[in-house]
Amino acid sequence: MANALLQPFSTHLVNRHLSQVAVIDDAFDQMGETALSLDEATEIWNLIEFDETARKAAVGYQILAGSDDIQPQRLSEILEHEPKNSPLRGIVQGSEFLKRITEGLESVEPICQLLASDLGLTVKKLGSNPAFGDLAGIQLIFLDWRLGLDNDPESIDRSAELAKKIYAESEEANKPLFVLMSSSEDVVQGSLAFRQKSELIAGLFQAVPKKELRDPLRLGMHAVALADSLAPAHVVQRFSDALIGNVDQTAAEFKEAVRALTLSDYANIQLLTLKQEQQPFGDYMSWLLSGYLLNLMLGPEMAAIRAGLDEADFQDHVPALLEPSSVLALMYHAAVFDMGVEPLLYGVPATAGKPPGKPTLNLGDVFLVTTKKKEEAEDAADEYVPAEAPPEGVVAEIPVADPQEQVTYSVAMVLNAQCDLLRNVPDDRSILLLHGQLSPLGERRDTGLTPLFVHPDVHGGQGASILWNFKRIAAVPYGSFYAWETDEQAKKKRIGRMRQLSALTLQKEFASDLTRIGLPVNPPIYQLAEVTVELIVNKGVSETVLISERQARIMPHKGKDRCLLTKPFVQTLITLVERRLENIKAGVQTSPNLSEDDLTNALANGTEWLKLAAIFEIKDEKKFFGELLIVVTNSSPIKALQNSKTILRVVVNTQDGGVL
Amino acid sequence: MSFKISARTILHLGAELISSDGIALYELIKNAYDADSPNVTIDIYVRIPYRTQKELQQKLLTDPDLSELDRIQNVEACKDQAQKHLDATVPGANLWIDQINACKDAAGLLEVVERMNEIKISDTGTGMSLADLDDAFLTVGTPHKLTEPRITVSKGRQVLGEKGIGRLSAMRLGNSMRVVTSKGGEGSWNVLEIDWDAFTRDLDAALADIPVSPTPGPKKEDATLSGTTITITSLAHSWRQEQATDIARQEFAKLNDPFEPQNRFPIRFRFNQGLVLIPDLPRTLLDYAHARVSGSFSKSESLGYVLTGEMTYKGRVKTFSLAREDLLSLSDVLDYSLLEEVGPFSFEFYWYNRRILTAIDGLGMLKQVRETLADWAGGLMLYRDGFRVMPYGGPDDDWLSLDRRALARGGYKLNRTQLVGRAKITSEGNPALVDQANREGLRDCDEKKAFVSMLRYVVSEALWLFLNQTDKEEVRAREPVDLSDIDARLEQQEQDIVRNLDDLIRSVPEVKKHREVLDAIRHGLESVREIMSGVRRLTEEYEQGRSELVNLAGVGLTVEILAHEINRATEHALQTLSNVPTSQLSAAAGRTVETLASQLKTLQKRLRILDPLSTAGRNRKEQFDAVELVRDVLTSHSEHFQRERIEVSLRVHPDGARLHLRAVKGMIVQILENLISNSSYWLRQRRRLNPDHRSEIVVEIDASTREIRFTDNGPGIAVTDQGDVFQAFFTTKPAGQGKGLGLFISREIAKYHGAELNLDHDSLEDGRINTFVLGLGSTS
Repeated sequence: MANALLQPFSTHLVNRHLSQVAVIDDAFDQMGETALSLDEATEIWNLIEFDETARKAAVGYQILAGSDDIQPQRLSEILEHEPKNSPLRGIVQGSEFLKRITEGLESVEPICQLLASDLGLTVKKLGSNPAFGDLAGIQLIFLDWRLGLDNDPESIDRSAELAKKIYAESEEANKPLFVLMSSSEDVVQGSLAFRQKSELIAGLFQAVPKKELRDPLRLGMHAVALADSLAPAHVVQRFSDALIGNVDQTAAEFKEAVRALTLSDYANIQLLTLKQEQQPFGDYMSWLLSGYLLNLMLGPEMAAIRAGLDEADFQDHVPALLEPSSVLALMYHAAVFDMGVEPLLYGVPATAGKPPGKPTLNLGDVFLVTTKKKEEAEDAADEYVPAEAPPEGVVAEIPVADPQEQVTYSVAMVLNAQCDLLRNVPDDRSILLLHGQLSPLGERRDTGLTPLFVHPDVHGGQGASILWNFKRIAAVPYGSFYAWETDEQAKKKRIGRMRQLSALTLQKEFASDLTRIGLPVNPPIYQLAEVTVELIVNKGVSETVLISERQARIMPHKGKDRCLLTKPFVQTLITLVERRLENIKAGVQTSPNLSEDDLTNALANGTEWLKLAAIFEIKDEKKFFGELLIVVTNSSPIKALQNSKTILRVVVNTQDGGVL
Repeated sequence: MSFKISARTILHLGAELISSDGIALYELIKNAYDADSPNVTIDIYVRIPYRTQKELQQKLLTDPDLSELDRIQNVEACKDQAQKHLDATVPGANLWIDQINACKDAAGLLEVVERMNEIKISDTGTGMSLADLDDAFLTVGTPHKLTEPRITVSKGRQVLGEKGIGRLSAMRLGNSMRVVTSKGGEGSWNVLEIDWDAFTRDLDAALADIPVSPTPGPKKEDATLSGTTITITSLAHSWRQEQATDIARQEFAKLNDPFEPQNRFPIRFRFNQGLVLIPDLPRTLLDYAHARVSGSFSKSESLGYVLTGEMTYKGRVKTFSLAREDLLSLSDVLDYSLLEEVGPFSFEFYWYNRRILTAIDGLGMLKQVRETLADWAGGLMLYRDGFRVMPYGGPDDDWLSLDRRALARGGYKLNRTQLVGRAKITSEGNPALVDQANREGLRDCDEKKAFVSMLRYVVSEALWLFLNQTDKEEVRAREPVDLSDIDARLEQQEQDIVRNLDDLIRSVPEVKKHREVLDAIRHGLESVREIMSGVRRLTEEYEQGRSELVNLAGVGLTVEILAHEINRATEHALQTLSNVPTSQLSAAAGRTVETLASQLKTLQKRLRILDPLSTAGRNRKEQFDAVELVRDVLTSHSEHFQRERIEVSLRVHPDGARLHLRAVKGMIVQILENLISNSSYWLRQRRRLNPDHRSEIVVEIDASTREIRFTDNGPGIAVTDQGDVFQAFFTTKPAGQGKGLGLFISREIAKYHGAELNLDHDSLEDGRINTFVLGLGSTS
């Protein structure tokens, strides 16, 4: 039965060329090398000291006068040499120390057993100081989170150190993945510390309680998930190792290059190139230097490794650590916006009664527009009526501002080509400003061309999407720019600049009659979803049993949604199905449409569980195990379930999504 | 006529005398040891919650007042309750259910319920025969133990019991006691059951009225078996696992000298059959101590008793050796013979700077090391014949007043939580150091005071000073250069830079074009110069502050001396007045006024001499004759010397010479006063040791070498202490009598005048120095 259940998993592993795993656990240590706690030593000493015969015998093992003398090696010798009926031997055998060793083995042996017999893998059992030769060619390592005593924080460090060493020592083509396992449930929280200590990228290991690994279905799921990540994970680690390795060299070269720039270089740039065109010097230098720095960092030398990354194929399985890290959001935002831009400077300062001259503008300059709420708006409660009809695809204009302040925020971006923005152009040149609405993250599916924009004033700094309205363009005469900027009803302030490639894309989008320039594909902007699990008890009566945040991710994709449930969440679903089966077996629950076999078969259907754990497309709803388990999105109408076999309905609710 | 002893008296000797469960158990453990048992087992069983047990007892005791039917119901209800609350996890719970069910009536059930919670102390020692039980066990204050040899027969142990009331401590643990015992060779066990309640029920009962008699008990399976099991039931309070653990860690672990683990008397301590761990002192903890001290008080042939020892800290080792007057002084005993009666003892202790504790291999992380240290620290424990004298060194005991001293000193250095250690005495060697009847430390007596003061001296004075000195020297070592060094070096470098710049300009004239660079360098040099002069200014201010501090301390000491004098004078005056008979008041009044006047005269004289010490006059240097000053000072003390029976002589070389000084007069007086005060103190100690001693002080002034030599024929200063005497806070006077500042300040004053105050090595005799030399050098 167990074998049949795991057959699809086993096949999957074979397809991924995974045939050998190692299990590293201090339970496999020789007794003489196992750490002994003070209490354990004291217990043994107390018993020996009390028993005159044992005490005499103990002298032969250099155990003379106290718990200091109780050492694992000596205890091991006692078990080896003392006769069966010796009291000394009896004391050691009955000790808490030996009990702990036995329990340790009992917690890990079943895992080895499952790996070997059910998943058909060759299993190497190794102690806490494995010989690296034993690990050659092994790609998946189950590593005990604590190599040593449970209450010793160093035992966690030891394990991280070992992982780091194993990773460094193994061949380039065969770097292993780790399953960090522990009898303690804390292992999942502990994985961040482990990542920092071991310096492995987060995807190279997965933290799992041993209890979960002793369950065949769950063990299978973990093994498959890791096997899928093997190849891409290596590429990614190689990329990040190479990049990190490159930092020092890059920094050195960059410093050298900056030092090498002579004063006359600076002068030449400013005098010969910029002054006439009135381009700000600082801006220009930062553009120049950042380009050079990027080239050093990610340039030709990284080409081969970048190519490797191009080939990474995650095969629809987002590995281990599901949640996109917050670092990614930071990187993306920095890639699109330069937020280190000063407020506008005007060429000729304002004098009494006379407005200042023209400002220095750039393509992509982003202005935050603070509009005072109209009096009527207050009467109309929360509803804000947009001045113009919303463009196609935009449901309603959403004010993104603090309601207390009675203002709404929006943005405007300069669309003119750079050459149109020099200060020597005529005063009547139109400055084109593209209007963008700010929509709180997670509130809408169509995140538009700029899905993430962060500013402390906007939505409490939580981030928003910018919905550019290409039908709403302001044309401000260059000479009157000051008046536009300081308009009492809608004050503007320059807060950032969209980087060139992104800005050009918007420019071209605006000039839609021209050839489009493809925007670099946005990073996966998931919407974190709240999921609600409804237990269909009988005749469609449902009971909400579980509401969890951040357990599913929705990605809009070509008119459909792609949905990904987290692995822990799928594990929870398994538990719910198991519980229902138990209830039916125990006669606590009856389901007229459902037999015990239906559930047993579902639990044994590894292939279907794998599908549920992978990314799947969903339009309104998606059925699994026949109709046993249905995933629906919140936008789909709830159907009657009187005659179905459905026992679980998972409602993926995107209403309250968050930042990446 | 004779004393009649009421039955209740037994209570005062047992339950009321013993203040803790730990001590009660300790007494019973000692009995097992004295019976030559190889070990002792203590089992605590709590099979039913204490509260439930009490409730059941109450219900079952009211049984006789109930009707027949109610009785049956009552017993059944009690059986149910007992079963329901029986802790099924305690091994053997099933047997108890059977016992409960087998009960036919309230009395039977009551008996079972009372036994459900029990404390059992069993040993396999010599055991007692029926006759022993009668003669020895039931005789309170046992002559038994005193008449028998103080060494046990088969194991040669020093007998611990001395009063013969230890067994009564069982009373503290519970109301009923059952003793089952037998000697090897006897065919059956002997049983003695005592219900302590019986002694208090009748207030008028005499002790002899309460029948207690041992009876022959069950047959022994093996006649060679011997030993004693004491079972205590109707426990005095409820027991929890944590209490047992606490007793094991805090009391049992320290019952035997933890520094001699091989001699520990094995205790198997179980709570509901689960072993309660009794830790031993991890040797690794001692290896990591920051300072260690060991030493002894023992008799040497030439010097009598000597307190010697060795201290180690930061790689430095210092030994100390104190005999005779030193011991007399620091212990502040009335009579030297008392010191002899303390008898020999030894000590060993370890000091930990808790702030720099680290993880220790084998002990674990810092937190565990801290916990282990906390378990063992608490000051010095005391062991007699290897067994602990409670409660010294325990969590609530500060018998050496270490914490109080530490607190008073600031920095809280050398408090009990930093110390792990013990002192060792023996019942044979230290017969004067005996336990109080309640086993709460040693009985108060002069020998105990002397013993305590010697140990306190070693910890609070000797070690404290050694730690501070070593730390100070370390700091000094870390700051190798003084200001003048820096100054010189800086000047040298300045010159080097200027020269190098000149060289540069000469060989590379182009440099001149970069005027700004050269200017920057010169400017940099200037600012360094400025900073340096700032530092110099600061240093001067510091020096100024230092001399002010010395002045202030000097004034403090002076005021103290004055206060002492005024006090003494007043006392004398009062005494004089009180002796005046009222009837002759008018006549006596005249005489009293006379006496008072003479007292006041003395006081005034003193005040006049000390007048220059007043702050206003202090800092004014003036020209004067040292010979005259010394003479004045000595004269002002004439009454004092007379009282102390000290002969003083002043010798001037060459005869009639004068020694002109330019100094602050008050400060020189200060030095002399200090030397006089020290001498009289130590001469007094010498006279205590030898009342016939003729005390002498000789002051020699050598005008040609400009030296004042101050010699007494007191005990002198040990060569080993010669560096220490001038250190601040060094003293071998008992606590409260010396601040250890006098010589420190005197030397500072001497330095202030460009003079020197030293010990005269030429006067070295028998390892001790008796002469101070004040070298006035260029103070003219």
